[in-house]
Amino acid sequence: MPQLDHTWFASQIFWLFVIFAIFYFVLSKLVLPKLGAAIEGREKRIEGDLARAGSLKGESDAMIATYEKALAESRAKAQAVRAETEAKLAKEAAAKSAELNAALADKIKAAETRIGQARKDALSNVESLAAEIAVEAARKIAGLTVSEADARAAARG
Amino acid sequence: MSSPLEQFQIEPIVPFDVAGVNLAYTNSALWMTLASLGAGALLVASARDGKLVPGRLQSIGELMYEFIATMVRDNVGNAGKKYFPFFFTLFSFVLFGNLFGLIPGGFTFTSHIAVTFGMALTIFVVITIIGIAKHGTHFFALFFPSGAPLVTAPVLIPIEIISYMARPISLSIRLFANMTVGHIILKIFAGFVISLGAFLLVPGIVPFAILVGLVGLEIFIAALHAYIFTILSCIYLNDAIHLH
Repeated sequence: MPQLDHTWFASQIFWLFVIFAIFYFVLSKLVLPKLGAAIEGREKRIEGDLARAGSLKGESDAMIATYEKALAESRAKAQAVRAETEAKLAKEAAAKSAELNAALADKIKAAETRIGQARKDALSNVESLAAEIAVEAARKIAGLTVSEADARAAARG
Repeated sequence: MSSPLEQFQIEPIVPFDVAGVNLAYTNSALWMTLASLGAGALLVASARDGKLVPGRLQSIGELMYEFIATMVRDNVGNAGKKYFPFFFTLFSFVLFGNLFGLIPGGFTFTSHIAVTFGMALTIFVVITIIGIAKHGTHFFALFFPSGAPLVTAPVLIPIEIISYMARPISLSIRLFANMTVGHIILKIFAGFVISLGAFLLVPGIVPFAILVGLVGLEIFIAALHAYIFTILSCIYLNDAIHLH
């Protein structure tokens, strides 16, 4: 087995050390710092981007909150204005209807008075007519002379 | 037909000795160089732009980075941070060594016990030194689980010491054996393809189809064992830093 031929042991170990040392030097000076920096830079960049995204999200959340607050305030204000207007309108309407009711009541009263008067007049007309008819009837039928006042009292019953 | 072991043969390319020690630049060292250059070029290109939205190339580097970073964080914790470049290099080195070994005609340096044991022993020694530097003599509490009855000490301590000492051996043999066996099987099936007639529909197509499946399996094993080698090193480091 050529592996066990000790002629070449020293040479193999010598060149192993020489070549490994050069390889180590090249990798640790030229390769690893750059690869490490690239990886670390990427991680930093990602972290930074995430942090920025977080702060932007915070800002937009605050903005949304402000907007919501303004919206709620204006909604409340609108509600208040509406309620106030409604109350005012209701008051006005109540006043107007009261006024109208009063006017109508006056008119109704006047009309009732007038109707009462007319009925009274009509009744008295009927009374005198009945008395007159009674006086005439008494005179013509019985030949009696009845005073109009008695006839009126009789007609009234 | 050549032996399936021939692919592990080391050939010198630039022979030289230092004080009588043979330190020749060999095909093993060449493929170590190629794997490191390939991995290095890919990773340098991947890291070059550092764009916010990574392209495919950058994603390769970042995936490996995150994979090893997570592994170190999960297994060693924050104390492991400063060892991260080492584990990343270790993973890339073993992974690309395994993968480059699968290139036809290539050489798998991770299939050599000298290389895997060299890595495992170095890691073992350094981790032990880190542990002793951090905890002083208290480090040796690692060999006696806290809460165990004192009577069990004569049995437990030798077992713990042996299991601790076996770590670099199991770590290196696992990688070496898997790579070696995988490549031997590939070579044997490749031999069947040739000897049964590579381009005849039957029977050469059968071992050829199996070979295709085996290459896929070996690519998976190449990645798996790079992962296992690295995560076990992490676990050993964690033991040394945090004890039990």
